[in-house]
Amino acid sequence: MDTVLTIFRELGPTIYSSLELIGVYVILALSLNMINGMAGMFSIGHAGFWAVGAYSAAAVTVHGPVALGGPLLLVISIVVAMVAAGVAGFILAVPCLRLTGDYLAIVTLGFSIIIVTLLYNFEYMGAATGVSTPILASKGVIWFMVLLTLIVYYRLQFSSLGRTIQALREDEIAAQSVGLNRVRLKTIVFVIGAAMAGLAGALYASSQTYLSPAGFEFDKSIKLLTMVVLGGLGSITGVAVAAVLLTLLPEVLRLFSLDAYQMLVFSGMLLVMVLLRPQGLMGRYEIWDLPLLRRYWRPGGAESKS
Amino acid sequence: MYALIALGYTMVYGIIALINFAHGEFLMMGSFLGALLINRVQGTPLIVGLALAMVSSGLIAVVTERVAYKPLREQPKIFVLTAAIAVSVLLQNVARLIFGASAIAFPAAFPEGSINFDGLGIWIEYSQLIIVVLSVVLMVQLWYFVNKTKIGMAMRATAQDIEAARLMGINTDRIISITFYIGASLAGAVGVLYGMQYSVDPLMGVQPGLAAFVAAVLGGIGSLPGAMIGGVLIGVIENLVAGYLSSTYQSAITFLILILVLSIKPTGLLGRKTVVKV
Repeated sequence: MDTVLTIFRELGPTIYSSLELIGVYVILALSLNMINGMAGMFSIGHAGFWAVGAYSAAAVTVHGPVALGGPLLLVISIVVAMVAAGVAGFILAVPCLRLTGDYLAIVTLGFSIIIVTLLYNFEYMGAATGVSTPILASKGVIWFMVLLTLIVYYRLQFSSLGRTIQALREDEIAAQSVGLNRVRLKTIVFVIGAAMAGLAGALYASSQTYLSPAGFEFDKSIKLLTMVVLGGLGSITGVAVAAVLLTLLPEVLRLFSLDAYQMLVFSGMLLVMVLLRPQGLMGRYEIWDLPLLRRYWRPGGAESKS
Repeated sequence: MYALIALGYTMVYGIIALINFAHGEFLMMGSFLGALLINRVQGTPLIVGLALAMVSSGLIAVVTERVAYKPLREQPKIFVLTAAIAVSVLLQNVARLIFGASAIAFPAAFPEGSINFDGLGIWIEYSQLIIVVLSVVLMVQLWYFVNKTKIGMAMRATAQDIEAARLMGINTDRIISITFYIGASLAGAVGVLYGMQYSVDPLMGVQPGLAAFVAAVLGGIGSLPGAMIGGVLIGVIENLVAGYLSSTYQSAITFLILILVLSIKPTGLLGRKTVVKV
């Protein structure tokens, strides 16, 4: 009973102090959900795009024209980060388009390892010691961006582009035979997903005081993957909620000084989810599809069960 | 050495078309158990440690297959792959929990010294020589097993067409378990050899595991001779990179090779063309 009380007493301040991180992870998990869930391309190196975004944004805010002042610098760094990560996504999309399933996964993993290796050797941005970054983004800015991402994602998923992409996921051969351009669609998804991860990277860089290559290693990709699988591949709200919960999980573990077991918990959770409920907590449903809410609020309408 | 690990990958992939992410972790587990036995019990001969490592990582692999992969065999590939990644990270952290996070040294079981070819400027250490000899012995045994025994024939049949093999009265579940066992015990053997050259720690499986996977792809995944050639090539390339560039770039270069191979010749050097059934 005491432990439960401790959790509740500590939860409020913990949530407040990690609001920035939660926001960043929500955007990240959504961007991975776009590639993994919406398009059905299995990427396990997503932290690589995040790293590209964070480092290119940091390059602007640390070495860039400081005279411009905070807000403008932040905007520039976000744009630069999104473009950089988008370009990285485009470059990676070229070899990936010919591949499916596990090969694709391995290539994305390789990509993230290459990125981290390069960062470890990148003297300009502090190499292995990392780089200190100015704090430019407030909680408000980050959550505004989260909201924006959610809206854009929602609009995209139920747009005709989103539906064609989902058709491609369901049956590639059938979709191609009705004239969908597989290469074009997959590239688009990859670039959008990567650019979104770049946005998360920019927000991360300007809400943390310090960046180092160790922060973008494979365990972060696993964390993101757990969020997407837990939330339900393809579900927007499911993944967003899972991202919030799983970002808080290490903080809760820290209360009991169990943080050494963090990755054990994440990987165990991933395995259990895949074995027992591979469709995730939400499946492809959204929060407003839950029976309780559905009677009062149905923004997606009957169509939302895509 | 990569060739031996790559063989395990290729066998598992050949039979159920799954990239077994946890393969490097089987290597790590075998290495730990072998090292512990030799360290704790004074005077244990190397060969006993090696045997224990092979048996234990084989058993871990069979359990993994039964618990994590078998229930998902009918599911989309994505889920099996996710399970494999999860198992890999899980095993790393379990090992960290049991054995501690710090590296332990392997006892020196080999005679020190080396054979010198002064004229050529090459020297081969005894330990390296023993590794090569052991690898060759294991490979020959594997070749014999796959090509000449009944179980080997059943394995090849299952790899060809799992449904048809089942209809022909082959117990495919058993064959898959055996494949996992053999692949992982090879990895366990490599774990001991690898541990002797460097040291033993919970993350030691990651780098050789990935490099061996790239080797398997390079040689054409599913092909045993291909895996050997790929393993040798990757080993040579990594040593060249470490020698002339910097060892920090090793894994980056390995993956660059992977991406290039996959975009230029996805079937690898000795791979067969795969046909997508509609």
